[in-house]
Amino acid sequence: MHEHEDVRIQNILAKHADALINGDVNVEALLQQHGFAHNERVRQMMQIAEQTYHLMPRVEPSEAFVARLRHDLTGYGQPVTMLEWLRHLQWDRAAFERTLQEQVDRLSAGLPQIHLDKPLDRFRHMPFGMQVAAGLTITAGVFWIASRVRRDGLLAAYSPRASEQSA
Amino acid sequence: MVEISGPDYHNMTDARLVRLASDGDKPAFGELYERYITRIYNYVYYRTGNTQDAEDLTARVFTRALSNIQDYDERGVPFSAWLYRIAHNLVANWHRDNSRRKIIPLDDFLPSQVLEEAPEMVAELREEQTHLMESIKQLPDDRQQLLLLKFVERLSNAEIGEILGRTEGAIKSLYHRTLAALSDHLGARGIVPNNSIGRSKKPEPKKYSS
Repeated sequence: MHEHEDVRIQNILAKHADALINGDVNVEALLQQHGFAHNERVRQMMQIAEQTYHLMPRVEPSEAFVARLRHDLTGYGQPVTMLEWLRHLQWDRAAFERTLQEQVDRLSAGLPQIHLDKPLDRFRHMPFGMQVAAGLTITAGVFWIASRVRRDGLLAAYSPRASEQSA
Repeated sequence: MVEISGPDYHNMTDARLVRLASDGDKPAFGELYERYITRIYNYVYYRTGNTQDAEDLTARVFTRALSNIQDYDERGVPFSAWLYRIAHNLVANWHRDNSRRKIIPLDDFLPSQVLEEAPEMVAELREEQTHLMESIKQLPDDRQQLLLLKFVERLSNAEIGEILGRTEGAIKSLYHRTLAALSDHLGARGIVPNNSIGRSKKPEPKKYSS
């Protein structure tokens, strides 16, 4: 008898869940139809089901993520650059570490790595020593330009013509 | 003039696509990817509670599926159930490695209709939702999975059974026991659920764009 009651409850709850998902739920009609109009326990379980259902809306993954993964898996679609991807991740250390981990996973699965922007791509493919040298050259270049700008400014300020003009 | 067109992947069954993908047909795997990306993402998102981990793990699910597709046996479980099992294992590892159980932030999921029309109800609803979420978090893993597959993925009991490796009847029974457990848990804390949320429409899918 108890077992039979359990099966009846399982059936009404299953129908209620289907109706919820289909968007045409009528709790009172279901309770009447299955002979549970005065069963507060069943009514309460239906209310909990309804609340749970509304607490879990479907989410959509971002288009950038879907496009990048599609391209990585199949080679089709628009490739997403590393810079775009990092922008998508709203650059932070943890995100960078995850991306690195993903690169490792991809390599072990024999999949292509995430694409980099062209300048960065070139830099990435350089040997380590050359990367250091390139980094130092760029830094030195920046300092050289900055010092020239400063020197030119000082020369202009202290040149005889400048002195005459100020006098 | 003869028009040459490629295979109609869109109308192929999963089983056919899997056979082609096993032979290295990338567009066939691409079609499977399109069919399941959102479902797998949702599953992982609700098990991890944040977008970044959901993306990482979803990517790993499909990467693993692609590398192991030759091992997939279509006589065993449907392809979708196989994918969910990969997702389930990866999420379980993630929980084990991180020793944590996260859940979605509630603020994101209050129906906008309630927020706009009845701001005085918001605090009450949020409290109810918090209690309900807390109760869901206390549930064993298979029951949380069941709620997810039923309400987010909208799968039938038969489909859920294939993923969890149980019969349709066992899923109906598990669903009943899950709701009963939630009712007991909330009742023990003196919380009587009301269906005020249920009168509003379920929120539209939430989009996580960059």
